[in-house]
Amino acid sequence: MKNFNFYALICLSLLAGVQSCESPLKDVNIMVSSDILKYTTVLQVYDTQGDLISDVNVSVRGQDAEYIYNLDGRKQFNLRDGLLGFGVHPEHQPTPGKPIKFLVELSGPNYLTQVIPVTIVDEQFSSVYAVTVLDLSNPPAGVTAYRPTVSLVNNAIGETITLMSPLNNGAEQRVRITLPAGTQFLDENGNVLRGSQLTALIVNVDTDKEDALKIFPGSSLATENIYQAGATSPVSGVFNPGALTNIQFFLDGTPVKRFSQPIEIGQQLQAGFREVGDAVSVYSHAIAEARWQHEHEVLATETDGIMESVFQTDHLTWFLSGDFMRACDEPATVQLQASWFDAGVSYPLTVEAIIGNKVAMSFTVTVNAENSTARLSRLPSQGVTLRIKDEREAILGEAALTSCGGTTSITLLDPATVADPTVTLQLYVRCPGQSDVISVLPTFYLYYREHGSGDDFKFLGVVTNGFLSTKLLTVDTVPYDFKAIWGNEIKIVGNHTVQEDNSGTVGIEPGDIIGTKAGATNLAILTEKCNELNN
Amino acid sequence: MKKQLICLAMGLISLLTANGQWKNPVPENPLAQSIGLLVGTTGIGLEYYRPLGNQLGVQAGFSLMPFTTHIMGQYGQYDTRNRVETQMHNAHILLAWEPFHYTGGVLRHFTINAGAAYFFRLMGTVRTTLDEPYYYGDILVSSELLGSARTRVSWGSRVMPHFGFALTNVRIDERFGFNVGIGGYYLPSPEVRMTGTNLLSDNEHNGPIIERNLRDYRLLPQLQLGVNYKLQID
Repeated sequence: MKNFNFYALICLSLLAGVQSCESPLKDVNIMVSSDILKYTTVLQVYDTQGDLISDVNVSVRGQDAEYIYNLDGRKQFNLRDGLLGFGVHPEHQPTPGKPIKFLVELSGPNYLTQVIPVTIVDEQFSSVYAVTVLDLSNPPAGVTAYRPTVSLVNNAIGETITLMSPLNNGAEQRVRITLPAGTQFLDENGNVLRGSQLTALIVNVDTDKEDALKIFPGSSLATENIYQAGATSPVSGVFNPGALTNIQFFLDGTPVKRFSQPIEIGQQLQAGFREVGDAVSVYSHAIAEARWQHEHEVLATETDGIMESVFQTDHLTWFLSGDFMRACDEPATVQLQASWFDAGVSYPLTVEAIIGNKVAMSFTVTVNAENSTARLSRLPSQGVTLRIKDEREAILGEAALTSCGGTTSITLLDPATVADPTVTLQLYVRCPGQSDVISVLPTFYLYYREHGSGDDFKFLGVVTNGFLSTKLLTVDTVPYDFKAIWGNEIKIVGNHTVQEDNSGTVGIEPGDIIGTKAGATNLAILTEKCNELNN
Repeated sequence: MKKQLICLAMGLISLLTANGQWKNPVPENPLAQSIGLLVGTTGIGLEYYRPLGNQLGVQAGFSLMPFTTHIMGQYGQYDTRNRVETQMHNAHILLAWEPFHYTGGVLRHFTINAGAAYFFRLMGTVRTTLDEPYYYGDILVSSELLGSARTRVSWGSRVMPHFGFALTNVRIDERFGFNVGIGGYYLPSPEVRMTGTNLLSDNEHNGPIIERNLRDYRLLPQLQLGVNYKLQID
């Protein structure tokens, strides 16, 4: 029965068996939409010099990790050209009050391991997040990576010693770690480690420098899984750090987890952050489960003219001294309004949440006239200013967040590209030597840059079922390089000039565009997928 | 199956031949005023026969054809399950000419038909779902999420000419006669629309392709068997 094709079906249905039934299915190609992963997100992974990197390992874990796939629907997560796409299984999508949450760990030699907690809320279908991993050999201005060594006596600290991170690399804040005499070092099971030389990796961050703060755990001050004082369940919210330090110790190369007695840490606070006697909250962060734990409430003290948050601890990890603002339970909705939204045209816009002059959260969404909302979780209702930027970093609108779970409307100014012509990209795959396109229309994230500029690729939009309309491209004269993330692959089409939209050219003849969403055939890429898709 | 068909044909010929032997030929019109029930490839219907002179007649009637079936098959590159619905409803009037009315045997019942039918509805609809697991990467996509494609082939409502041959009113007894006919309707080019739901919704472009491929499918063949009941006994 399998070979009983539609030719026979037509004949049978019309009972027209005596005619020369030549295949009515000639050239017919059933298209299956690739728009299966309705909820996707992409991480753009940078090093601290602002370059996209790919030499880090990726692992995904956490409560909903089993429902997370790459954009190709596979359980393989590899960083390519700094881009990492995730999609949510279509039968386990987020619902109101039940977002999808998972952790993405990025690690590699000479990188400080970064764990990104990803939350995808309902109605936030696509988003792009820039995340930063600290290259320990090349920290940004305001970050010190200090590696002191200490000789031990009988596996313990001989005399009380103080380690002080240097004020180099533009750093204006330092951290002081005092190890009392007799301190022994323990592994994760509480066993005393034996060795003669203690090495430390102390990363201290100036909290008033935007680039330095990019290495904040999770790459966002707005985060989650935070256990406040005495709490047994976590909340999400925003940190306003006045000091931030990561401390790791190794005894003859073996990681130290705890101490036989508390050690003292004095974190220099950001200038003007506190006065003497003001309360400061101290939190620690364990990367294994991306968990923030309230440790202490201390009073700011001043020693030798340095304002400090001083506390004792018996373990090592990230330490933060500062403030925490608990987030609303319900995500906020931002409704973007603009007279220049054209139907069907996609606009990548960056949404920033500003708290206390710090960017607490930043991500890029694709909006259009039909869907111009963005959803933000992890934000409190007070003290948050939302800022909308276009791809040229121009601020198009600002507004204060109004209330928990509410909708904030922002009317956007005209961007510089408002009068530019619309360029429609109808991307499909025509396999070499075949007249027909393949049967899956691609859905992917597309980036662009001017050919030969050497610039980083910029996000152009999410191509859905092979289709994208944009005003960000200049027609005819400017050659572009395009980069597409198709599943686990990156495809670059170089030196390509695009034409203006010519919607209305619909047909099946050569040169025409398939489907009713006509537009210029500006790119024909991804041909290497043919073999896989035809198998 | 072939064997059965041959047996059936032989039986039919025997029956007709025997019938021819029972009755001596008379030069009158072999078509009697009668009503008949017809079953065939274009449906089931009722027919009224009326002779006109010695070798002409007229027959008029209607036939209905609601037809639904399920077919597994390949559609493009996928194994599919297809629910096929066909609707062919018409009213027709045909002129019958018996060129051999003066001869004996079954040949005198040979009739050439020409006429037209008004098709109230002539269309076929195929609802196609995939009959194989569909994976997107490692994700098994459920049939609900995948959706279905619907192909609608329509010739509209219009008058279509008919031409055919038949053996009409081959007598079984005084009241009943037997009919068998073959012919066809000449069709205009069909209009084909393809629509889809969910992940199969982007298939409109296949409609014009199928329409182009069906451009030469202009004959709707008709094979009919039937009995008729004579209104007046000779």
